[in-house]
Amino acid sequence: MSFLNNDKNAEGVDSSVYLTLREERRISRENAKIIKKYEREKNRKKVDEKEYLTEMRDPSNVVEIENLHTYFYTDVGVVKSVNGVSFDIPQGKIVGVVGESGCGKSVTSLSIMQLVPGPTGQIVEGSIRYKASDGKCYEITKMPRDRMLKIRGKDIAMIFQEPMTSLNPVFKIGYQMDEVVLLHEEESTPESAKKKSIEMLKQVGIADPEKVYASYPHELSGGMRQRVMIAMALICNPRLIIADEPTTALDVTIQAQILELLREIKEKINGSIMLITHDLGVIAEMADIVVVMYAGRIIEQGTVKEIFHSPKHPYTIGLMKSRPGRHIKEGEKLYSIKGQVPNPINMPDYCYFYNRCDKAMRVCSQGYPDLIKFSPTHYAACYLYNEDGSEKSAEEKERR
Amino acid sequence: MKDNIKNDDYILIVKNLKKYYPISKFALGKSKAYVKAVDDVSFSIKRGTTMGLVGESGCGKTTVGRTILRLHEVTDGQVIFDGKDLSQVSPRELRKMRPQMQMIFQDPYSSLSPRMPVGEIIGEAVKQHKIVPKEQYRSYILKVMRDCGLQPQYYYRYPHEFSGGQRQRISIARAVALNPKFIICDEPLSALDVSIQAQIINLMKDLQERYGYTYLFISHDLSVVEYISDSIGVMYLGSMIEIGDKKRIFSNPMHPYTKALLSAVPVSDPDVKMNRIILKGDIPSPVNPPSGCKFRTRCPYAMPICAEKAPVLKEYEEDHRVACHLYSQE
Ligand SMILES: Nc1ncnc2c1ncn2[C@@H]1O[C@H](COP(=O)(O)OP(=O)(O)OP(=O)(O)O)[C@@H](O)[C@H]1O
Ligand SMILES: Nc1ncnc2c1ncn2[C@@H]1O[C@H](COP(=O)(O)OP(=O)(O)O)[C@@H](O)[C@H]1O
Ligand code: SF4
Ligand code: SF4
Ligand SMILES: [Mg+2]
Ligand SMILES: [Mg+2]
Repeated sequence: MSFLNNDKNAEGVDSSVYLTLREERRISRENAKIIKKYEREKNRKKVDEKEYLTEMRDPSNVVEIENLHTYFYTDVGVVKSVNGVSFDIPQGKIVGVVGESGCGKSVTSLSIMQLVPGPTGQIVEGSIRYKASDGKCYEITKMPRDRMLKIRGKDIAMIFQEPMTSLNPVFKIGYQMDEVVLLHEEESTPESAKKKSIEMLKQVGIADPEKVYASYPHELSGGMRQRVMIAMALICNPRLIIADEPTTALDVTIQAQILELLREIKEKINGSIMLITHDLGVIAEMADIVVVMYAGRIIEQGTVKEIFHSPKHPYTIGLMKSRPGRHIKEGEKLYSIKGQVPNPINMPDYCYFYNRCDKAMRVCSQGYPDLIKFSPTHYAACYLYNEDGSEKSAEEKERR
Repeated sequence: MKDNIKNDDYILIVKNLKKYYPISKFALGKSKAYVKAVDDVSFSIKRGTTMGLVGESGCGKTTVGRTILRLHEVTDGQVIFDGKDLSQVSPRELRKMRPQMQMIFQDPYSSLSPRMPVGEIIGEAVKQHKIVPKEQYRSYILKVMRDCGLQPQYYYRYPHEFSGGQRQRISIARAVALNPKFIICDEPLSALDVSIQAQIINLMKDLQERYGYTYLFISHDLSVVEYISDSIGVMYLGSMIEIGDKKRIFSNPMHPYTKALLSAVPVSDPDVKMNRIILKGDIPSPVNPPSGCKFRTRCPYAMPICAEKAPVLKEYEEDHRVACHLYSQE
């Protein structure tokens, strides 16, 4: 039958390139070579500090990410998970990162922690500058592993979506918390560590900290485990908390508790939070600055007001409109963005949103759009706008 | 047959439904404890409408769905589907009724067989139940696929080649192909991205308009439930604590739990500051629920009577019932 052969415009199907065995071997040989080079770099010992000390562009930032590229060298090809991402995390602010599943939010955050799952995953380009509590600025992409260990968990702490996977099921909560204290505080003794752990459990609003201290992870509810994770993150006075979907696995009433707690904690430690979520409501409520990612790139960023009140990129606009809410009239259809994200192995060399965009013009298929500046804090990458931030006229759009 | 309980407006009437899962207490050997997953729940759904079922995880939503479909044995209570009491019908008749009640699951990854091409996944039960004559089989499946936004060339592809949103379309197509009257959707959106969720919601609404389906829509996303439902049921620890017309419940939530639930939903507008009711503590275990009102351990208004007597659902305005001692139980 004819429809079965017409495979060309299989819109939306993962058009996985079917590789021959020989091609696959060639790819994996090449990958092995590349990976080896990066691994050697990271495993160096006794590296001179000068090699990875740097300066912040703006001293009020805790983190500055510039043109970050993080790739995975898989057997079916290179997945460009993070493909030229730049943004800052200012001191004392919450930066919200939103975007479709697989757009590179988690990989960006793992890059900051030097926790990209290796050896296939590697930071291949760009810079991540981090201002540590000792006043020095480090270039994380160049830091050797042994140095990074000190910073991770002490200055930067991470909270994951599913706390069960980051807590060890066979050890009691107390044991796991004490270990963190002992690792990061040189003068601590088992007794002082226990005191500190219980103190932290109290700080995250756990009513019966001694009991939780003596419990196994599986004996706690999801919300409780997330509190424990936050308590653990706090042990070492972090200046930056990276929270990757911290409330996605939780019910709304528990989510409300945890968000409130995160806000309190941020004030208390006067730190910053990078908050990854796909829930626009959570972003609107928590974030000062919003970064919208799409297929490994930032397509728009701005203050929370700019993003919610005057979104510029068609993807951001579509996201806002596609949420059910009070703006939808009775009986009205939801706006929906058609299609889906392109295959990460075969990214186009033009606007990644082209296949789904209902405002696409001819130019959009001829190259990747530059970032347009709408205000000192608001940027978007889209051909609909002139360099001065004004929208192109209808005729101009037609012509293009 | 004793099915004169007929009320033609309603496709589904659930009366005092109970589902207890036994858990053997290892220390005590024989004596058994129960998880009261669903504890005396009653509701009914009008033909062609959507009822949203909300509540926190573990409160028994999925169990309600599964016991209605007899995927689980009922501990007690009645389910009347299309005028027939399901506990009275013979197994043979039940099998014949099966296609009319379908379920769509949360996880479009594990609910589709990886070894079958899409056309076969959708068509398997169609063949089995002889929904259409053999000659029309293929064109029928292709029509269903078109209805669900799946292109004909996907017919011979396998589920792993599809994204989450498309897999959810496939599971919808599989349900729809049996020409059902009633579809239970158990968190059909929660594994999907926001931009894909809207596509699926629109598809479900479309199909409902076109074919008059009745939905029981289980979800913890209250914005979606508000958008898609005509009526709402709110569950807490196995009990229905507030139920009625969607608009009434959203504009005038009466039960303290419903109030907290609605206020906890983050609003996509940075200028709106919610007057949030933050509940203390966690949901108690359903093995050992609190006496009286099950919500009393977290309720800001709990009174002595709440520990003594379980409140029952009472109607306080048309099509709006609440179970709480704050309102007269007379
Ligand atoms: N270990 C890995 N090996 C190969 N590819 C990977 C690996 N981890 C992530 N990727 C790919 O990198 C891309 C970005 O993944 P990432 O986990 O950052 O997405 P995300 O934005 O956090 O998505 P989600 O919302 O689902 O958490 C995806 O295409 C993913 O398939
Ligand atoms: N097959 C089962 N055996 C034992 N307990 C179960 C089973 N299925 C569900 N439960 C329990 O019943 C309660 C209700 O579960 P469920 O209906 O899945 O909740 P929901 O769908 O609202 O999240 C929970 O406490 C759950 O642990
Ligand atoms: S550049 Fe073109 S295709 Fe891309 S988002 Fe803008 S208008 Fe749409
Ligand atoms: S019955 Fe009592 S405890 Fe239960 S919700 Fe009403 S006031 Fe609260
Ligand atoms: Mg992620
Ligand atoms: Mg469930």
